[in-house]
Amino acid sequence: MIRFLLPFVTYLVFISESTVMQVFTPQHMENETILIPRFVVVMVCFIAMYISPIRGVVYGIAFGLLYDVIFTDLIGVYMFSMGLTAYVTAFIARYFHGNIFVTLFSMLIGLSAFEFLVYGLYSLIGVPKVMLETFIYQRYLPTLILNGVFVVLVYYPLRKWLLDIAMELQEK
Amino acid sequence: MPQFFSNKRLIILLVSMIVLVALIGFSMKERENISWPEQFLHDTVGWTQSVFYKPAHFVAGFFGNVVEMKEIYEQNRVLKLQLNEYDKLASRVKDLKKENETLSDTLEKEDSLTDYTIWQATIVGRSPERWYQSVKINKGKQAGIEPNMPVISSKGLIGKIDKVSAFHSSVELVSSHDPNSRISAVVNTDKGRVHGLIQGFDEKKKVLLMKMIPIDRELKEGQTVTTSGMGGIFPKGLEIGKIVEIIPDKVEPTQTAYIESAADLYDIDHVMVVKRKMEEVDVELDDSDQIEEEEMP
Repeated sequence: MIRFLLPFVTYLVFISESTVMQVFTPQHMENETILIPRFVVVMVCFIAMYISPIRGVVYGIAFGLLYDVIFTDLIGVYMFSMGLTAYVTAFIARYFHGNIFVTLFSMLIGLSAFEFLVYGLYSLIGVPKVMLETFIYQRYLPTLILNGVFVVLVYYPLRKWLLDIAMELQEK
Repeated sequence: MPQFFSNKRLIILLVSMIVLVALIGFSMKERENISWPEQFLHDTVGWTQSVFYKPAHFVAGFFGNVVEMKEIYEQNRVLKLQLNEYDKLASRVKDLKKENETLSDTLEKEDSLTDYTIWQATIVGRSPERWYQSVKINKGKQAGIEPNMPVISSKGLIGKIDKVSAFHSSVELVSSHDPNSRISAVVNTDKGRVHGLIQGFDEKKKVLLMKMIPIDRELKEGQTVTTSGMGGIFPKGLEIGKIVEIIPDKVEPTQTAYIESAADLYDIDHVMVVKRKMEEVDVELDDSDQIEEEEMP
């Protein structure tokens, strides 16, 4: 059951980023800010925190690869960043447990790490010609807020579900 | 407190970095089109995307319609006034077209750079990350679409075909960061045509950059920029946008024009893929030859 359901739900989240969210958070020419849904990263971090870090990293690598193939020209950037983000988040969360604020906090650290990793790697290759300042105000902060809200919304149901799955896995 | 990375994990990290560099190196090569596993993934994701995109768009469109309803009355009045103008224009266009045809016939010129064929396509998804700006459409190799074909909306140019799989293809928008994308463009002024290259996008001002314009050419704000048809793939006369600002370059004897795109690059759902007819003539000849050969035995 878990073997198929968890990847399927993550895949649905992945699809919703590029379809539903693109319709409901429309972007217009005169609009300064860019809201980027990073729900897959949030999902991967949740899996790393509540099931196991290794599983989180594997999901991160798999969906990062999918992201790379579908949306970008370069393979590897998202794959690497998502895997590392999952690991870092799980590492932070190991020491503080339970509270929604703590989870939100470590998620935000994870997301920041992710955004800066992707920006850094792309700048290294020379894809975006965007100043660091512009990146922070136009992209990073709005994205952090959007995904923070998402974390708060899904925290209770998702945590309960993932803990159930973790229990089931342990019984096996 | 345990170490952040144990030795074993450090080695894994280093190995994965090497893999990362290798993968980037592999995918940075100039590739004609993507490999078949990638095409397969593209199609699978494309199908699920189209399941989700349409209902979402329908719901969003419903609320949009309610807002629009208020403005319709006023709009209708203005449009009726414009319709008379349009009639006059239409008959004039018809005359000119006829004249053009007769003149072309006398010159025995079969196709011009302006002729093109189009495919209608619907957008099924959009890249959520905005470093690479691309949208995905529901027509692919099966429909005859090839990489690098220009894509337009009803208002103007929006981009070109990037990757093609069997049933879907992705469109790289003109606002994308790809340093290799260049479109040869032209501005029609009173004193003749001014050529330049559309290259790059200013993220902060949200304008396209038209570079390599000779410094002695005078341009004005508000002039329309179209494709020139010199690049080989793009037909002539597709509207790109309007000039909003002109700035001389610091080092080279050229100037750069900032261009506001005619098409709304964010709020699009139907697009047209364009193929220049000039080349298609040759392709058709080849096909008919093949058919004849097959029929012979």
